[in-house]
Amino acid sequence: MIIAETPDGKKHDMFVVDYHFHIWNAAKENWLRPDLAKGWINCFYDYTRALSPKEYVWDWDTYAYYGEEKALRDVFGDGHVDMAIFEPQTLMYFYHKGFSNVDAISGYVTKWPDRLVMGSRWDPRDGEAGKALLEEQVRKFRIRPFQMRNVKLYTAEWKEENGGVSRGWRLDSKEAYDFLEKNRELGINVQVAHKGPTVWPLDKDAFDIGDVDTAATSFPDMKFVVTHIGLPRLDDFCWVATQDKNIYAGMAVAMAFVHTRPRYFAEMMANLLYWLGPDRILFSADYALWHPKWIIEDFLNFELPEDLKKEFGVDLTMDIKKKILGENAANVWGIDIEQQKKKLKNDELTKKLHLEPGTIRVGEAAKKGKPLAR
Amino acid sequence: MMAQDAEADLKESVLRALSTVTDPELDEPITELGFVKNLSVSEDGRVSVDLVTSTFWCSPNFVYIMLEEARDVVSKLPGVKEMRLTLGGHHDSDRINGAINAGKSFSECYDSEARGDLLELNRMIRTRALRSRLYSMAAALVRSGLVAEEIPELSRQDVTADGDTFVVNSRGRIIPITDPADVRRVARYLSFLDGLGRTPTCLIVWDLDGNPPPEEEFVSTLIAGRLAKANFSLNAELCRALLESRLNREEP
Repeated sequence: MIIAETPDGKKHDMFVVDYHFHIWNAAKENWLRPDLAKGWINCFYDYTRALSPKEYVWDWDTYAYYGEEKALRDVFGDGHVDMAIFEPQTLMYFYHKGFSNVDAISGYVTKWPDRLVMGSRWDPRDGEAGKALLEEQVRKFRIRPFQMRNVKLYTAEWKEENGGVSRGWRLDSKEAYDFLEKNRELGINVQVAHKGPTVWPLDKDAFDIGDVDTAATSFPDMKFVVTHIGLPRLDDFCWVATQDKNIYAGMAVAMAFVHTRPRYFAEMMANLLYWLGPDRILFSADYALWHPKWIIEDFLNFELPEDLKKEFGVDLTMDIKKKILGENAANVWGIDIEQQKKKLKNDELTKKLHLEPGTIRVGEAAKKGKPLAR
Repeated sequence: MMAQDAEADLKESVLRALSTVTDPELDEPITELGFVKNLSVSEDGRVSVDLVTSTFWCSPNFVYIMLEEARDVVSKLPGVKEMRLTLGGHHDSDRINGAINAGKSFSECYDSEARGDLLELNRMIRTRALRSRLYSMAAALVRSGLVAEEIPELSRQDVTADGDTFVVNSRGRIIPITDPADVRRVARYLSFLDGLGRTPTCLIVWDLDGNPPPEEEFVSTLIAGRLAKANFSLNAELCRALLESRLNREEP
């Protein structure tokens, strides 16, 4: 929890829900195919280095494997986050035990089920075994109404198949629809779609979110969160999300522009507010890509520049920031914020980490960003 | 001395040719993005270009479009006898380099994983580039004194180059475009339009076949173009930042 104090003396309580949180292990011992495993974590590291304030960049070894304890301290301790939703990314083709999977976090979820929210994943190529695993995970982890409600659907996942490699799948395939039906049956109603650089077949645009559009239309009772707001296809994303009201903008990666590239951040926020409105934008720091502390503080201190406010007719008020930081995700996952506030006030983690809500004074040195020269 | 001059000239013309190649997803020249890492030419016309992309994971299909274009524009230069491209630090470097230098198409490179070549993908991404450039030009025209509504009335011939500036002839007025950034925006759209290889009478086209925007207010067309433009800018900025980190990092 963080309290934002505005120049008019008002205090705004911000309950923070991060919809896209990782605990990964990319240490060398875990590399199954070293070139790919190294290429993966180095690419992540470049994202971090490219957009973080310098003092938040760790050394490579810490970055490759930081461990659960550090993650909890960073996210819930310094990081102002009240609840974090786990999104696995298994990558079994790259790493022996996977990059970031459910096992890494299961013990922590059962220990702190009001803090950490379990999400799983599936891959249509896993067939019946994949469905059986989902059933088991729901039995095991549906220990709160909001637990095990989401799956991360990474369509660029590589998988060994028939002695070769299959480099992806589509969400509008028959096999994927079978899994969506299974989700419906199990009450897993939040689909976190995530595009990567490859897909089947390779001549198609891997970043095309047409398949999310099709699935969202076919399953109107479900919610589809598109991670990193469809980038590098923000334009398609906005079109599609304008039509399908069950599509949400997942701000993982996108949030990180706020510090070093505020004008770019302003452009994307203005577009999202214009096309989607304020109720379908979900915050994430994408830990450990970025540390939530600076992202949240910068975001609270961020104001839309006047030219964009005027051009788009939108604003990013404190109430809208509050929605983006927590209320919107709470609505999607069915989290009762008031109830959670009471529960978290004196929970074990609060005691263990000596948590207290931080206060930040905003609006004095607000970040805006001037119009781009390009 | 002569040989050295010839080498320097060839090198310069190769660089100039490479500067016409854009990253299709960013609509910016690969030379400005820093993707050309090394370039060497020999006096007998052998050219070797080392390329790098912003990440290890750039989509193979877009990388292929970019490399094919680089191969083709350099190969056809006078004095080039042999052209060798080497893409480094990509998850499929070996396969892509082998296929590009053997003159293979994408579907030959990925015979079992691709269903066809990249024409459709290329059209999709070039259409976006067109719309993004259209928005930038229209914004430049509005800044220079036109109203948005009169822009669709303009024909290609109404915009003419005048030294380092442009002149627009609209509704009986002569409007100069002099701001260098705006001049560049107009030039970028016009070069794309002229490069479509047809002679459109309308200044404003909305697709690669030279069709006008759908029947709706021009302002909503511009909003769509603006979004395409915002997307390119964001992606390009991210790629520049990623490449900078990548080139300044030690391998573990």
